[in-house]
Amino acid sequence: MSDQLNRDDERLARLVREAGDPSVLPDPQYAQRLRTMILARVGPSETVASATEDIRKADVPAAWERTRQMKRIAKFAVAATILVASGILAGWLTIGGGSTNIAFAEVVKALDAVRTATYECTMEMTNAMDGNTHTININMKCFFLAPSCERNEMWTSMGTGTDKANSILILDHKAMRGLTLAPEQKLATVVDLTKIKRPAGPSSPFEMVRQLVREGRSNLHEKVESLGKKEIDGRVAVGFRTHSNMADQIFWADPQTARLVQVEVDFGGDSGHGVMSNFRYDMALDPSLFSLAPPAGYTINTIEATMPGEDDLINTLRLIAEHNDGTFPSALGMGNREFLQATQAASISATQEFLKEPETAKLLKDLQAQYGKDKDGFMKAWMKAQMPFTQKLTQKHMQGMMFYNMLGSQNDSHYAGMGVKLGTPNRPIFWYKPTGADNYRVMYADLSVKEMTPGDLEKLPAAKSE
Amino acid sequence: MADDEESRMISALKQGNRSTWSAAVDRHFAEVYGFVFHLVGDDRAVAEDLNQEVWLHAIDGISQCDALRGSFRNWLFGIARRRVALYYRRRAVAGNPTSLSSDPLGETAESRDVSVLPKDVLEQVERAGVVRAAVLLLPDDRREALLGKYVEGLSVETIAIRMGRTAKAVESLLSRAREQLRGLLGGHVMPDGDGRRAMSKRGVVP
Repeated sequence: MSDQLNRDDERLARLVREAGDPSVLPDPQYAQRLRTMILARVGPSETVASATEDIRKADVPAAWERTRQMKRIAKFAVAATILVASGILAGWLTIGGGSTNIAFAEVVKALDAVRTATYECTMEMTNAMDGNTHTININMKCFFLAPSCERNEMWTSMGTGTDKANSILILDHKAMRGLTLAPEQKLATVVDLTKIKRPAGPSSPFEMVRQLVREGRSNLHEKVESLGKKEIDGRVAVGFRTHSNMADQIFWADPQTARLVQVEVDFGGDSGHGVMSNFRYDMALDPSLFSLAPPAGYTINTIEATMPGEDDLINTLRLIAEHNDGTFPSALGMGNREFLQATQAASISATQEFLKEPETAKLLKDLQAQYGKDKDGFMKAWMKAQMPFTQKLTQKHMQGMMFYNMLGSQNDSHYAGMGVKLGTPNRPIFWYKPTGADNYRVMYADLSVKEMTPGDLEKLPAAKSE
Repeated sequence: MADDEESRMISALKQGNRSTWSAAVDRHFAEVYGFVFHLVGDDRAVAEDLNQEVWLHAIDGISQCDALRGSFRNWLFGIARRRVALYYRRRAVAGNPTSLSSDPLGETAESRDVSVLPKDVLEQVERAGVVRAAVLLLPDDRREALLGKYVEGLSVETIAIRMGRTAKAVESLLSRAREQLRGLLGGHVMPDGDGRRAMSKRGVVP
């Protein structure tokens, strides 16, 4: 019996020795992602006091170092927000979120449809960050595959900076689905736009311009101005200017083929402009360029876009006023200075709260341990880890302006809130006519909303001055 | 009789206390991951998926964790064990659809089994992987003593100094570790009857 036990022990000892130390560490980024997911599934975070206590307990940088890091991280989060916002903006431009496409409801049947196209786009956006105006340069290489797929490869940089963030946006206009890729971070974001009402009318700039050129007239429901002829790169082109809440656009097209030669976009005020050029048509394009499947090895996030509503605009107006000395902005629009400053301040504030979350503190600690003095590696890993938070925050902040941008000429929207103080009694600041409705919705400076007939609207002093 | 501290912890987990869950993740994340990792042939991608399933099942099913029946750790490893077994059974079913029965994934039977994995799936796992997973199931002090003795080749006295225990206590830990390990490895890995004998004793479940 004793011999048997000894033999058993020896056999067991050999097995354990041969197997070796079983300790194995999971990939830190995977571990952090799952940890965050687990805690998110458990429930909302506890009080700020307990979160702060957790940070205090966490043995990450000394106070001054932590403060310095937090400032840098918060600033970086803003940069990430801009990158995400640029992607969303580009998406809305191409998907027709600007009402330019929406208004051309009576689409003539497409003739000699473009099968494929490529073009280049440069955009210069100004952004008032930290009280200073920064220029964001976006260079895009764009691909189009009929009937409704686009791929935009973007390089975004700030000011004269040489650091360029690369991102790819793929959209299927008809399926209302998209995919954004951040190759450097290997981050994929699946964008579900199916809950957004698909705009009626042409689903691409090509179809729209073809209609404009062939009909040679303005659509009754849209403000389209003929600009006559102009020579571009040795070719005569005819031009049309359209207006929407998002931007004014000028389309230059070949009068013979109705194909685009150049497009100019102006976001209004000093907020930015862009030029699309070097259009080429009907070349062979690999369909895989337009695949909406995230590439292997990418971390996948999902954004489900919800239909922006009136409440979103109210929340945005309140946010702006609260960050602007209680005063409503000078104008509405994605590029509005007060809007950008308010959303950035709110982003920094939310990011600082996010940094106080115990799981975020743990993430920072792990990343610092992993990357040591490799600050770039640390910041890239951090940016990747916090991207879902940033995307959600950006989406929340942009919903209000998206609602405004989606209002077309048939909605007859007007803003009259410039310089008006939040809470001013009986002061209308914005009104519009919902699609298909007879009456207007009027928003007041106390952010209440009333319904009004067109006749009553005429009696409003603010409406008269418009 | 459940340990008061363990009962309080399980109660806090059931109430969705984030700090307690956070501490539980800190405490058990790596060992659960390692357990799964060794049992799926060191395949990180599969291990990551299964480990995620384990934790999400734990959160969703925490109301079923009973302090009177064992520790949270044992309960958590029970989930891990079932997820790995399910993985192999799904794979087998996918490769041989004609083997489908009324309980193709065998979920009803495995709760009666005390080894690292149910016997029907244990044969599919490399022996060294099973041993590593079994060692991870041991309580910390037993594991430390066992690895010190057999992997590092330390004397009992050295292990005792390192662990702040007496030599006698370490001998006791080693004895219990071996006994538990025999039960966990079962007849497939310990073919000479060790599994049978160990399984007949109490305390072989991690």
